[in-house]
Amino acid sequence: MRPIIKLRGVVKKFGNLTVLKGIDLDIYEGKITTIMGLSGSGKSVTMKLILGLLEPDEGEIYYYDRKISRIPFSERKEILKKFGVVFQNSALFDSLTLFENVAFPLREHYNLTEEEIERRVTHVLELVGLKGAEEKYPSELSGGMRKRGGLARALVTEPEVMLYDEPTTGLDPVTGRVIEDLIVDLYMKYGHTALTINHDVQSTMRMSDYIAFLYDGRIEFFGTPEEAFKSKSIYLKQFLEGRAEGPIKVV
Amino acid sequence: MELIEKIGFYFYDLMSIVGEFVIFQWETVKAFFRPPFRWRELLFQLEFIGVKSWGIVSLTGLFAGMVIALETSYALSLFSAEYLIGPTTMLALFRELGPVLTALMITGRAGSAMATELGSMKVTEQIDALYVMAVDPIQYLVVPRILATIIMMPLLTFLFVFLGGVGAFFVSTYSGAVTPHTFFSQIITKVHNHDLYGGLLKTMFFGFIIATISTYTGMKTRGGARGVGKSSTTAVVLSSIAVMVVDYILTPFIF
Repeated sequence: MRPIIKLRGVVKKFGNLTVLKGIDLDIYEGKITTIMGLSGSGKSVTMKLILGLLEPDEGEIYYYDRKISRIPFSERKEILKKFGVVFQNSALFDSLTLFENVAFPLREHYNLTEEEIERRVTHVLELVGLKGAEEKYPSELSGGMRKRGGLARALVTEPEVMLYDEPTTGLDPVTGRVIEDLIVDLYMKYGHTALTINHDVQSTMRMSDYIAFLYDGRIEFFGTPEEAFKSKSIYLKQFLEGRAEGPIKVV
Repeated sequence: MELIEKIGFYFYDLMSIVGEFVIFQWETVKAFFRPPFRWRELLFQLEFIGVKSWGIVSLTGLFAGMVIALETSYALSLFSAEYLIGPTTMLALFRELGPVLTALMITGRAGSAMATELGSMKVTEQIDALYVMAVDPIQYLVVPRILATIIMMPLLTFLFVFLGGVGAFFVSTYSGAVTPHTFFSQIITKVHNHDLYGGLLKTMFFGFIIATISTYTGMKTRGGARGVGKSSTTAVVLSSIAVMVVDYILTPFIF
């Protein structure tokens, strides 16, 4: 089992605030890894650093053994094509229909015929349960449908790594569970590596192979869900139990 | 001491923004020449910035020409020089009013729309989505808007000046200040090709300035709906000021 993405000594500061204080993290090939943590603990920042939307102040990030931190966009493009990203608010292009949104990465990077594009888009829309909504604009879709649309767009190029930024946040429990099951089903079907960001403990425990718990700018825990429950970390224990009292002080 | 510190921070912030803007312009200019070329996006922007602006530009051009003819007719009558209404109006339109007023109209209509659209895309992570799909947002969103504005500004200015001339002709001949023959013959003898070309050249610079400022403020939007509104206002205010300042700087070099 080898890591597909590696973070080594990554530090990220915003002005005087140090969000990440030198984290080391491995995302293993073919596994679902979830980064958990309090709001503002740096989960989304970690994902943005992997994608190159932010650059680390110190430390390096690797895709296998290739350094991907602080590289120009022209070099990063090839790496980004291997990633599929599902944004928290789906980030579908509001001027395009659902079909055009999902077809977008295919039209940009692959020399496919219109028939082939239609076949692949229809296939992924069917997988995420959005068949029949092809001509709708994002504003005409519900929150859950938009999330599934974002998922379809990320999946259509059959990426090696899927990254989910809080995939169930803002959804009702039933729709959240549907999305969660969909993520696992797609993972089983395609066998890609998945990195998710989540602060829902139950959902994380159900779907993850590995959990990374971020606290105070560091990886406080990394291991399987079973190991997480047995962990001696008082911070992780409080987080998993969802207690207001304990060593973690929010206010 | 505190005041000096505040002034220091203010200048530091200002210089950071200026530096960022210059880098943004440089990145944009480099992207002009780097494939893939976004022809479809460019055509869409040409239509939005150019074709859809012709109505407002025509109307303002027509009325601007009419009012200038009216005012110059009065001023020239003080010296019994009404026969100069034609060239005076056309020189004003060709060299200054056409380029500047068209630029201000395009700033209000297209510049604010660019900042709002890109700002809204920024706060809803659509620009990040483009980036992670390995599509350069500058090349996809910014370059077509800037090129379209540079291409359309001279054409819209020409339309503005032409209709301004038509308005001026009707006002000055209808009032009896000049005959149609005097109006045209004076224009032919006193207005030269370089007056028109110089004005049109200026508008290309204005187009570049309006579109780079508007796209830059859009791409740097933060903070939801209020941030989008602020970006739109900033784009219009900064572009308008920049057009005036650059007009003053360029004019001696062009004419």
